[in-house]
Amino acid sequence: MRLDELKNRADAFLGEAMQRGADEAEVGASHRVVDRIVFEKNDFQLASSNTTLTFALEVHKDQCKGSAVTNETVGDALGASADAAMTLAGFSLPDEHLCFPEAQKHDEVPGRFDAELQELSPEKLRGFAADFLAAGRHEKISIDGAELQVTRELEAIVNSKGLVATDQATQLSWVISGMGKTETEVTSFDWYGGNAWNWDGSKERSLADADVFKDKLLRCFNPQKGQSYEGKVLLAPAVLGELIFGPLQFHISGRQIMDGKSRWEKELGKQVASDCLTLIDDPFDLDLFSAAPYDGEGVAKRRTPIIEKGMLKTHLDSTYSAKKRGTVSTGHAGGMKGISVAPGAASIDELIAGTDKLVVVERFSGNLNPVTGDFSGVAKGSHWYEKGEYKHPLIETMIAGNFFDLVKNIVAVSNKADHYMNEYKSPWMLVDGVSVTAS
Amino acid sequence: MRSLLEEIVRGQAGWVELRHHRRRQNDFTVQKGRVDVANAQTIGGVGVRVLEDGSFGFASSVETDRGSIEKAVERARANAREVSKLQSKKVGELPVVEFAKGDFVLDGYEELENKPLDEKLQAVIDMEKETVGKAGAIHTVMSTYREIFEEKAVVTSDGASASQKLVRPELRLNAFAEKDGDHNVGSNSLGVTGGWNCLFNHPTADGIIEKTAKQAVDLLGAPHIPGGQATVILEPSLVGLLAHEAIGHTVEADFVLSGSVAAGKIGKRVGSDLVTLCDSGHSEIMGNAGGEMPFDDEGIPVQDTVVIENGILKSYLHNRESAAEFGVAPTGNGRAWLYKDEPLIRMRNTYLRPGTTPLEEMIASTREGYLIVGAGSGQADATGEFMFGSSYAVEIKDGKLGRKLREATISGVAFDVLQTIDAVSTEFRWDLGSGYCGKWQPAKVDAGGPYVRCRLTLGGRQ
Repeated sequence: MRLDELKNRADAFLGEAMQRGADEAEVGASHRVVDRIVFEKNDFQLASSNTTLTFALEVHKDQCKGSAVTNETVGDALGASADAAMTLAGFSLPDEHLCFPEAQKHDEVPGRFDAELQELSPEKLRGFAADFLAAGRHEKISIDGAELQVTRELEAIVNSKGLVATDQATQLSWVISGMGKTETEVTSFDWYGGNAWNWDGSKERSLADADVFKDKLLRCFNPQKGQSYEGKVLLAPAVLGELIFGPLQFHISGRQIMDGKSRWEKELGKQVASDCLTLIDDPFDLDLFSAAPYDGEGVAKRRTPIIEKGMLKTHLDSTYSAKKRGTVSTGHAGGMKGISVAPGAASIDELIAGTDKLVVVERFSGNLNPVTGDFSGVAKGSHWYEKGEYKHPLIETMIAGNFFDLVKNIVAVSNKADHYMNEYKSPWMLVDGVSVTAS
Repeated sequence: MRSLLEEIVRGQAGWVELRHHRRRQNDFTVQKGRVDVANAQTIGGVGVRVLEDGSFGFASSVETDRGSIEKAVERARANAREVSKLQSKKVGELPVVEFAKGDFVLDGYEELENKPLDEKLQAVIDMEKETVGKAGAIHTVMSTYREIFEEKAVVTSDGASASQKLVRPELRLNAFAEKDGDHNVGSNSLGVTGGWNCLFNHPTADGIIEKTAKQAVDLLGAPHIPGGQATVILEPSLVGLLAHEAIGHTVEADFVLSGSVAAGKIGKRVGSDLVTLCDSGHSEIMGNAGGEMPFDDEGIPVQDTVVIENGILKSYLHNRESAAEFGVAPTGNGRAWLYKDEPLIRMRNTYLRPGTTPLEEMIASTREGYLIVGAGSGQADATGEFMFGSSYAVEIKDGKLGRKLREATISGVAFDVLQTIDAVSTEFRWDLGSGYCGKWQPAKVDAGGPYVRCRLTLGGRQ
């Protein structure tokens, strides 16, 4: 399928809704061709191919909303979906703030489409998979699973206000999971992976990620129990998504502010975190797999400062939450697409050197309640240091605390920032005031 | 559709599996007097799996006409040949089994299909409104209803030919409260395989508005639980989570072959005598469990698999391929999320069998500990070390329930914790029917059990 063909079909679906009496409507359409190779039980197991075409429609009628999603397009299937959305709008509750964005232009984000990935042969994908798995193998590692996947995606968003947003991208992704294993020991489970928009350079990156995976597991053998204390822990980028970026995004969301769930509604321009924390949303960073030209409703994305030296610079709004709150969309329907934290001055070794007792947390298996900010869980794949010296890997160690305290208690961030699995870019963070419970 | 799949399979050489799956899902979310979500979704297609050159290949087709499905078969064959060039240990003959035959429609399907959508949405609207009115401290309520209608047909070249229709409705209620700058959330959810009446007859639905509102308000200002080892009584949702996360994943045969802690432990003691743990495709003990189905996505009739009997590990969970490798019968655990997903070994309804001690007696005989209530999300890994969240804890001192404490994450090593179980209640309920398990692809599951007393680690404050 071509991009213009997808856009035309989205237009036709939009027409179905308008013909049925919608006041306004929006259609999102996506076409994906995915080839995949699966590795399980220490061997290659399966190759698969899927082509999917999905349409999502939202209609507004008399200030009421209804929506429908379908992958059925034969006969009058799209008409039936438009009927379903209109029926739901017919008994929904009125909301005067319902709206879609106005027509607008967005710039392309070059570098996200690669003709070689678009036409990647099964033989090339097989070779890529063989090299990646060979790099991930080790006599002391049992690989539970791995997936190599090439995705070719077309996307179109159109609405009845004349907005048209289209995009085409290719992506190669890889992930590997498993545990260290000898005759006498099984270590904690872990995984690593990444993505590339282009074939060139993807092999080198995937092999480097396989090395990260191996290194994480091989450092976990012979773990011992640690000590209970309240104090400093060093958080690896792998755990910051759940402990910091997730709740941070929750509390700056216009949607959560609307609903009274945010604690940072009145904190704009105020110090909400340690001055060690500077964070931007950069949707054009091609090292992150969520890089995109526009948000979930077709509004152009832009580079947005979020926190500068601990001070909150903005809330995030979609067209709807902006109208409800009397502000303008920041292009964040669907959230941040390029979380990037500025590095600090000290190396990881220097951060560790200045501590008395320290747990270095490399994976967090736990829960965080975004509303209260409370979190607790197991510090997996973690390591114990005393007076700056490495002692041993840890087992059965839990950490607990609160997000709002955590961001204020960031003592320092490292001078090394990692693109963690191409999800976000962040340095390591040394934080104080965390409860550590040893079994 | 089943007869078309049979015709196509008859014209194919070698082992071929065709699975038609059409899912219709309706979602409603109401919050602050708004309808945030009123969505109808229909996703369908045919998944094709073939075994060629000793390897599996998979492909899918959105179109369900003969020509499109046959093209998908050819793509699946090409994929199998491709992966065969990499696979060291080839897949042998799949075991000869007794397949499901015929057309199955589970209770509740027609009832829920015939119930008007506006009545369902109105119930969600009313629930939100009523919960908000329960306490002044509650500022926001989110009520959510989902219903998933599944239609499947599985046909294989070695004899499976069956179809099933079932429906799984779910209900979620969250109340957000604030007082003097302190925030809290009360949450309850439930899900069943069955109709509207069945959903609202579930024990968790009983008084859900009052329970959710009270939970949101009662915990405002409550202290955090202290961290450390403790004697705890887990309620059924948490026992279900323990059975699913801590034990169930480690006994999935694919995970066993990768080296999970359960490898080599068949016939060995892994829990106290009081522990009998099962995974069933039926709804044992209490009806309408959320992971019920007549047959799995390989066409195998489901059974009640006894994983641990009186503390002894008896069985792993199998699909056809792993059953052949272990030389046992498949247990009906091959499941796929959508038509475009290949079947994996997944749990269904995982539970501990009830015991002989009433809950009251269990509490009365606990000198110091906690009653842990409400399941959060959970994870476990290959070592059997697990963690899961909870809604709150109630202190137990000298056999009496005391103050409530804020959410605690609990952790332990599965088989070690099972050894510490010293009391199992007579009460039983399924209580994770609104849950989804994640393992490369989601799966709708349920889990539950009695109340259980054991020792484990609480991830609280120092």
